[in-house]
Amino acid sequence: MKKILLVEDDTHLCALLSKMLKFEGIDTVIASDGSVAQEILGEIGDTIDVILCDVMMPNVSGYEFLAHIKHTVKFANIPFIFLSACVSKEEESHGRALGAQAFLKKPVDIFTLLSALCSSNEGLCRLTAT
Amino acid sequence: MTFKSSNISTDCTNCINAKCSLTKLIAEKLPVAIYSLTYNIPRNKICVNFVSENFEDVTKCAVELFKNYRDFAEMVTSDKRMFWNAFDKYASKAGSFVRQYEIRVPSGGCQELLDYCHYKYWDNGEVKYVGVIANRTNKKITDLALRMSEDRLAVALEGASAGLFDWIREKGNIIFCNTQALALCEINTCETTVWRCLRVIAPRFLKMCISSLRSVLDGKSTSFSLEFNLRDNEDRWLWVSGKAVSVDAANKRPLRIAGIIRDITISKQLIIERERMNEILEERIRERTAQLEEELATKLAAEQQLVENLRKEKELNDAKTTFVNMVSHEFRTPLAIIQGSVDLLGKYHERLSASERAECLSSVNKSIQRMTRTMDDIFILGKMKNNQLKFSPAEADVLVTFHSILENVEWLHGSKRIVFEVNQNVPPKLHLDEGLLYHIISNLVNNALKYSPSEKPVICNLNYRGGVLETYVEDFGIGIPEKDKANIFKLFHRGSNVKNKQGVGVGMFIVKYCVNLYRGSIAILSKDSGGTIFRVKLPTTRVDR
Repeated sequence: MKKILLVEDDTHLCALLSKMLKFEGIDTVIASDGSVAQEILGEIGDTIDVILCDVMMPNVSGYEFLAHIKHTVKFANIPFIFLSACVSKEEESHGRALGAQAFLKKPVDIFTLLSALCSSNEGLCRLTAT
Repeated sequence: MTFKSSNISTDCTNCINAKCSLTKLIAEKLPVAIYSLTYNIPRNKICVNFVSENFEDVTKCAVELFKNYRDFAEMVTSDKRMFWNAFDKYASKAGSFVRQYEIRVPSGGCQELLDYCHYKYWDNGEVKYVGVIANRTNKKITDLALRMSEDRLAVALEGASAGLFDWIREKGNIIFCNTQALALCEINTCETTVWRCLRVIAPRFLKMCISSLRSVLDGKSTSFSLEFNLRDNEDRWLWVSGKAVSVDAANKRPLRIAGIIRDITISKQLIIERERMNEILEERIRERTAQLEEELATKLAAEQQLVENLRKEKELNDAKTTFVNMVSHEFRTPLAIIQGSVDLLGKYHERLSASERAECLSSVNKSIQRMTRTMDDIFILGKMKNNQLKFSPAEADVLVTFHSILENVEWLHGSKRIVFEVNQNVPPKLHLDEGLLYHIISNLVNNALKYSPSEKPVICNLNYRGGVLETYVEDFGIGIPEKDKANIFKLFHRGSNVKNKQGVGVGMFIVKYCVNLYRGSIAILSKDSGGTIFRVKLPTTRVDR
């Protein structure tokens, strides 16, 4: 089963996304902010296929977290997708400049989300196609 | 002094000897030569009987030449007839005459001699002469020099720009003054007294002038120098400088006072004019400096104001940007939950259990409430801006009201960490403005939950004393840095340590506004360990039964 690291401080949204992705055959590991996500990566980073991450979070923001993993050779190639309430072009440009494959804006529907996940990881695409 | 008496005849020896003492005395005391001679009329022979030893010193002529009297007469360069006329005076028995003549001495040059001679006629046909010769050569030179000097002085005095005067104390009159002094002091005669001159001095200087004059007259000083005004002949006020010195002092009191008086009106006017111009210039400089300083201060103030305005504008813009971002976030996150719930219910409806479906609907409901709350905050800000938020208390059940507020916050926040403590002295019913109270308590508790660890409680403590409802909201979170405490209630201000915590920076602004409407107070209490305690005091009346 493919595994996504979902980094989001809103527990309700985490629960919803996790449930939807599970129906699509994708396992999710949830982190409430960037610092927790870094710990999780340290433990099970090898099993993570895609990272879906919020921007505005307590402690360590999505930008800081992305910058951190891009500096960690071991995880630098894990596809990274932002899912943010920040909708300005500047924010999107900044996120992409940091190395994010996609910058999704809240609210996002399941089809857009799955499409972005497919684009970032072929394995996920095959999985969702079935 | 010795006398050479070898040629003196016997019959006049006594006479000569008798006058010897006097002659000697005169010769010693005065620079004159003394001689005696006899003129034998019948024989027309002149015999020099006596010549004092200092003759040569006085006349610069050798005694031997004098003794050959006719040779001596040949040396006379002035009128010889006048020289010899003296010997015609024997018509009377005795007499005296004075001659002044010039002789050319062998050593060169001329000597002016004054010859005073006494004669006596004797019956034997002889005339005896006794004479005194004084050398007037030096005096003549001196007199000439003095006369020239006097001439020059007279020219200088009359030509001088200053007035000069000389005053004798004993007579009390001015004995000398030049034309300028006369013109300046309106003195018509040299007989004018000094005191009379004082009448032309300006009254304001009179005391000073008299005092200075008295000081010199009394011997307390030897001179004085003053500047004062006096009125001239044409009734104009002049500036003059007067200087005077005591002359010929006796017992330290001057016998004479000589002085100089100078018209300094033009120079004084120039000085006064210069001082006036300087004052005007300085005044203009002061005025201009003040004007420039004022302009500079205004410019600086304007620049500072501009910088301040720019800073405020930037702050406002930043705050607005933050606000828009936060509001956007506050809407988009619940919208994302709604979207997710709708998708879940729509696409996976068959695979969801009944409880999961209910949970989805609940999530939609909560998200709608969350957006409503954000909308409310923005709405309240609008009302605050338009002064539409009013204090309107009404009878309320305290516990029900607080439970309702806290449960709502807890539900919205999705955690159950609130510990509600109620003191026994809290009346069950009070007159409360539930709307304002909701804004105050919900914001404080929401912040406490937001900025503290999820495993730590948030304590809401309620107390009532002296007609005041006290609410303490305590958390064990990040606390408020000292530098932020002064600004914590400002609109859009967020603590420097909140990092990426959600929020728009309006909550505490609303709290403060509502507390003020309530005429209450809010304080941040110090806490040794991490976290914050807010104390809110709201004046609240009991409900009479």
